[in-house]
Amino acid sequence: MKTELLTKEIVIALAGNPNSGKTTVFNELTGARQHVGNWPGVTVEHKEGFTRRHGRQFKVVDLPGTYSLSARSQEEVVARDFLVDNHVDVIVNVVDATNLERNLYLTTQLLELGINMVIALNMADMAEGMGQKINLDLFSHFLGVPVVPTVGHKGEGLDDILAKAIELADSPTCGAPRAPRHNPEIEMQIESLENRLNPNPDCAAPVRWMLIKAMEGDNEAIGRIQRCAADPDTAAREIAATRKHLELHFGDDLEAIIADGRYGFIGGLIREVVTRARPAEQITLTDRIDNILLNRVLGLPIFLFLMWLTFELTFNVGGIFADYLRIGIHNLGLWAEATMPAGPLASLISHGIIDGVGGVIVFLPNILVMFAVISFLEGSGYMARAAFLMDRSMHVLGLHGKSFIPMLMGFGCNVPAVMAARTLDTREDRLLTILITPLMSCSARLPIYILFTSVFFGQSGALVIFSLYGLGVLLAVASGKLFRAAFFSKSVSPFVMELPPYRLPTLKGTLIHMWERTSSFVTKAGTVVLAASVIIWALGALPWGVEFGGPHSLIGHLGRYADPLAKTLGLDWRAAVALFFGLGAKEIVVGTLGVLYGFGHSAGSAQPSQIAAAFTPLTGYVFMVLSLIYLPCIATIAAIKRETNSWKWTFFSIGYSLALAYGVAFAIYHMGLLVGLR
Amino acid sequence: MSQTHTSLSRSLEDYLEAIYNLKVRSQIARVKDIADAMNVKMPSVTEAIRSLAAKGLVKHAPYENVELTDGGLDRARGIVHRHVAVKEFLVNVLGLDPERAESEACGIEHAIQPDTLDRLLRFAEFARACEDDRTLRLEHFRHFVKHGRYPAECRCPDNHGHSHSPITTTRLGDVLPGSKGRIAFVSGRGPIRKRLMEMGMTSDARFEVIRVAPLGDPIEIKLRGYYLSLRKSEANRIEVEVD
Repeated sequence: MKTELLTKEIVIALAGNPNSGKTTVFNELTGARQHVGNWPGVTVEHKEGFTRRHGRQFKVVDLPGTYSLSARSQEEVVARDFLVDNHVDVIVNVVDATNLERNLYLTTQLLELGINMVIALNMADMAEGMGQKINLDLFSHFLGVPVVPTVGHKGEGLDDILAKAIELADSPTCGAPRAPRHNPEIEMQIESLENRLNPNPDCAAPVRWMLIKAMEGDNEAIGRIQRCAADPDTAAREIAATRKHLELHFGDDLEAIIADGRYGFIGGLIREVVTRARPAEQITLTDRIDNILLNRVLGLPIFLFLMWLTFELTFNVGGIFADYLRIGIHNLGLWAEATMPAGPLASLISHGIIDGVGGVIVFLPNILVMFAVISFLEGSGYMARAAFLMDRSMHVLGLHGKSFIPMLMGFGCNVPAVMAARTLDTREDRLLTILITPLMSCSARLPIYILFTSVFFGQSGALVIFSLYGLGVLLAVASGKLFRAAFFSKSVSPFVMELPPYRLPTLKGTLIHMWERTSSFVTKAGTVVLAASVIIWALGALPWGVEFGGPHSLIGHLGRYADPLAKTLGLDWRAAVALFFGLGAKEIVVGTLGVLYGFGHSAGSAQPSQIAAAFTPLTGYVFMVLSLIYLPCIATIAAIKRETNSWKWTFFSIGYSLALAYGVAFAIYHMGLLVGLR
Repeated sequence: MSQTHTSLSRSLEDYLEAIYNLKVRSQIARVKDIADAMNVKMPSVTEAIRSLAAKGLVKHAPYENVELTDGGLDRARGIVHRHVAVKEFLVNVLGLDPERAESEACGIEHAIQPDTLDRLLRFAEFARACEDDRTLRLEHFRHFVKHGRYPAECRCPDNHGHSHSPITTTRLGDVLPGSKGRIAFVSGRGPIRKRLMEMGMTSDARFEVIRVAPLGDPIEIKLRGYYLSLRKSEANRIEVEVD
């Protein structure tokens, strides 16, 4: 028995508010790959890590940061389902000691689960610095759970937490947490419901917890009770009747009464256990910083400067390394082709695999730099301020203030832009931002615009290019409104966002964040990109012996089927094939045009004279519009798949952009013809 | 007070006021509470609620508590504002004892026109200022009545005679930065209300409006020791009492 106890792995779930320092505690406990941030709701997936202390093995699960355990957001559902449906030995509830009142709101709900719990009173040093003294014994007495002061980023108190966790895990009967009692009338009704419904004792979820949630009108909890109850229909009826009775009794929404009661309990608790050495009303560092950064006059200019800096660092500083990588990969491809006996294999390796892998790797410098910057913005607390500053203008577009950064990044490259959408809080806002970001004209589309405008538009070239960027933004806004109305109309997402205190992000946290995002891109997106690159290679290079991507290749033959469709836009099959190769990377479009128009410069770009011969100004513009809107590159599609985690939305995005591109190009071409352009 | 209202009978105004007061004090207004507060029978209350509902000022379904609509809330606020202002005038300027002032105010508040009330308010304020500053004379006030402003040489209470009554509430979205107060209630129903309450916006919680974003929305408030931003559209669901 003794040895069995000692070898048993202890499962710990970390729960707490966003910005409570929970992720920092997790990193310190496990040293795992996890992100440290100040941005509400940053951990979307729960992550686990392992550690060995006090001679015992621990599995630590980092739940998403939530303010409550209602089933309203994805994060809350993930957190509570994990606690209810999985075996958790001990919950470690990370509570920000500098912000007790709101943090304890979640605690009151965790206590109702009846699972062993330890409270990590985090940032205890800062609370003390603010002149706040907490009577730990009394605190722990009122809640019936151990309370341990911790300082997350220094790792202080974490050993004590684990020691308490071992005690609790080894003696499960050593005292259940004492959940606060609700209003006597509610308690009475819950008790009577419990007796009448008599749910199956094998039910995984704690009955009292489910009933309280049911009283709060939580349909998911009501569903759980029905599944456990002998007669689901009676259970639903009884619950509805009890709710009705209680609402009549109190004359208000039951959820409001319960929330009120919880805060009432917390208020009383704090009065008892917290003493202030000096009044808390003083101007904090955060106040001073915000007086400048959120200033009516200076706020926006500073924000725009920081965004410019983010963009510059990501694409210009990161771009330097990306250029070296690109050259290196190109040379590697040439070397491979030269050293191997010429044939399909050499071509596959150099043009298919090396180019494909290279197509993933070239993004790495940008992604690394961008996530270093984003991690700093989030970790410091500025990201929430950025949303605060931008919300008004983004709200007009049907978007959240936080959508600004992904959309801005889109002008550089859609891949990191799509990945930056994960900083948004709700699934709806994330999806919406991911779907419209590819319409931001990325820098890889610029060479196409430059080539065509220099041939056809001369002096007014800049204006024409600007019109394309503008068209992209316009379509993004319109699509955003359309999607909001079509898919997300029912889910109103209120903008109720915490502005966390400014904190200096830790280097460890930033590095872990960068590594996590980058490696996830390489492993998840990389495989998709590689597979697609090989397919594109095969279509261009086979049957073996033809000119790559030329008229006799597979794609050359297939492309002819697109000829009738291309004709409706004033283009021909060669333009369609060029766009197809643009899937690999937009940069290839220009090169492919050269090959297809067959003027012998297979390796180089199309010459202006060839373009002038093959296109008119109108069809040239149509071609640019197509390049702007039609499919983003494979790497972006892979990023969309990775971030939405849904093929459905990925294919929707593909289908939508193709249809939109065709529709807009068709309209421009025919309107152009009507007004006499050619 | 500039908007034109459909006229309300004196008794309906009383009902609206009673519902509002109940809502502020105890979050809820049930037919029974209203009957108790007004010292009438429940069927009379039901009758009055029906007329108020027909005018779009309250929402009420049988066996449920009475909810004020946005229009009803504005209207009720106006009535209570008048009541408090008149009562203050009777007590502070005319020196009536508070109990008598309370009952007299009940009658006057229905009859008084908005512009007269405004003048009454300003005079109350002026009279209060007179106590501190002996150089003020009645002719200064007459000058104000005639020209809409006080003469330049006098340090009179300028423009708006704000007298913050202890029980009138305002929408959080209308509160100016720097003001502090307490939350009275969150109106409406549903998930947004719950979310607001979960973030700590329950009745009696203290708050301070910190700033408005440079573009005019959202606003930032301090609440329960932390900072929270919310759009004005959400803030306007929250009724607050400013100190």
